Amino acid sequence: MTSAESTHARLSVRVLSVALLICVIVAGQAQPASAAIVDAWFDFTRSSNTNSTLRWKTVDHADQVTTWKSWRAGSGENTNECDKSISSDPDGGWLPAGWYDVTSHTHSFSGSAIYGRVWQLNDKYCSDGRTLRTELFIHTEENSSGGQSGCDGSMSTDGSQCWDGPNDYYSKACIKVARSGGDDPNAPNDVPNVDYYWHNYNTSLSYPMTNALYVH
Amino acid sequence: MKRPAGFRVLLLVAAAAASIAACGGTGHVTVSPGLPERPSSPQRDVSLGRGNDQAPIPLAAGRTLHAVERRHTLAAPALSPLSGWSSPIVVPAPDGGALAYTTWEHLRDVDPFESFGQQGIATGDPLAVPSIRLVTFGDAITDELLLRGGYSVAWRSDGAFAYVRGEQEEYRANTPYDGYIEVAQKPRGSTVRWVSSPARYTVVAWAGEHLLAYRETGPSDGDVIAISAPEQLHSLGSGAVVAVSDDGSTVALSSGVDATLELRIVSVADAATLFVLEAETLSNAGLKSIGYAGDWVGTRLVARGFTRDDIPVIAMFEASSSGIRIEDILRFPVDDVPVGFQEVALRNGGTDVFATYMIPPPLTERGYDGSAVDRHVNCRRDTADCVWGDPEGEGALFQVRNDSRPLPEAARKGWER
Repeated sequence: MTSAESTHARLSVRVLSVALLICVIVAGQAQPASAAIVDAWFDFTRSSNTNSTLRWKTVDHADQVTTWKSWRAGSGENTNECDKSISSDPDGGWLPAGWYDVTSHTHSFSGSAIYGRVWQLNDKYCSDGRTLRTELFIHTEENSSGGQSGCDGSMSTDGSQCWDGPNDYYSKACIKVARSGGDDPNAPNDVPNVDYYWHNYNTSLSYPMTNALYVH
Repeated sequence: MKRPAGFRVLLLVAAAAASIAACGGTGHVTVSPGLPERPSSPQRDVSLGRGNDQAPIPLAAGRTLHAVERRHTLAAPALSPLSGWSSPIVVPAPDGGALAYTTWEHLRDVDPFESFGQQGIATGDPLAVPSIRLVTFGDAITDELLLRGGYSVAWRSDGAFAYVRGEQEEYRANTPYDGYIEVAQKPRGSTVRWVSSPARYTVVAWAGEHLLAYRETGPSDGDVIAISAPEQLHSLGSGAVVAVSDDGSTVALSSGVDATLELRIVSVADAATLFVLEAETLSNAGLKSIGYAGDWVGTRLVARGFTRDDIPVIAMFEASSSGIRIEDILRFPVDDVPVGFQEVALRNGGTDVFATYMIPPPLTERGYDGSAVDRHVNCRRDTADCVWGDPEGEGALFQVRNDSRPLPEAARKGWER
């Protein structure tokens, strides 16, 4: 276990009294016989704006960290986490490094440019506090019912409720995850999978959930 | 001259843009005499060496104001986390006798690396207060609070002073800082609310009689608005303000990224797109993104950006009444400029380019190790020779700049060495 994960396990403020016995067999991944998750979080490894990695991790009573799943994910349009996003288009830097709370989660978010399954994160100062990044989410591009709208069969256009292609991994710092059914025939159906792990490989789902995302 | 592949010129759609000549349907571009021939590949690697720590133009670094002939200590650090570099933080008065700056007062310590919950911060907790201060240079220098609970300033050539006033004074955790846009005839004059519908606004600059501002109405949603009078506003569409033309009639807006990147020249009065460089052209030149906080002098437009292989660049364009084209792209070593530039300015009539940038602190598993290093760089365009400096002062570097146009020449040059 890395020192960051050890620190997280020690300092987590969430109630750890619920022991969760996982018996469901996930495709391609068997559960430990008597696994008891005491903590769980997203781990986002920043590599590039369109090809970074989001992982789901848990730790058990024996301090054993398990990475259950990983997905391709994107964030920002450049690598300066202090570059403030200002327009409705993807702009600004990727998500600042550090720990985040998930302040809320819903399947039917209906904003003016973000919809469907979302995990809202706390505001974040960048590295030395010079810029504040706000209105941060983990999300995809879908409608508020979890489907696709505005798809036009072209991967070169960009609709906010349709996964058009790899360019959709860019964002205003939010973590973007792909889904199928849009204009990109090769898009993996990741966001339902992300949601599955969030709900089924977690501790108590009460919000805000402290230290639920680690970005590095 | 052969028209570059992918270049498109749109017809004017409104006679209101009388200062821009109609180009017709052929898209012919006339190259102004005296400009160097555009190289076949517009990208050039710069040579970067150490220069003077004293910048050739005024800067603020925290509480240290590096003016032309003196150094001054501000009463509070120049800083605006709500707007970053998207709007000038330290704005000189049109007559050069004063400047306004935004500052940020922390109400409690916040560790950037830890989550709010880990630090006992709940949604709605007051964390900081943005404020606007006014420095006047007379027989004595004064530095006074102008507005507590406000940020971002635009100062017009006739003295009209625009800013954002927060609905509440404090920024609260996980709570959008909604506000209004107000205008006064002078900094301490009576104010008029120009936009009363609360949203996340950032004023940027006056463009003639119009005030340009960002309006964010929701997560990842927003546009650039032009306001000509109280509640009289229209949208210029989504995008980032690169710069305003000298006469204030047009604004260069960038939008999108990579396959959707565009650079548009837009008429402020009626939001008509006059010229556009589309993704194909920009991509052929290797550009992935174009950022805000650029500059425009005469027919020279300059912006910060990144290439498709994530190299930080300063991109230069010729933008005139005939159209817009890419002139030059200066590439910088990513080891020296790891996360790109913050603000870019033209100097000496466009022969030089000046920019600020930061080098982030190392990131470890336990958080950031130390503070960022803040530097400035000045480049000669003809040779692509650049020198960097590291000015005194703790904190992010902000150019002392007034992006409003038109602006008296004296006001623009008054702060320059």
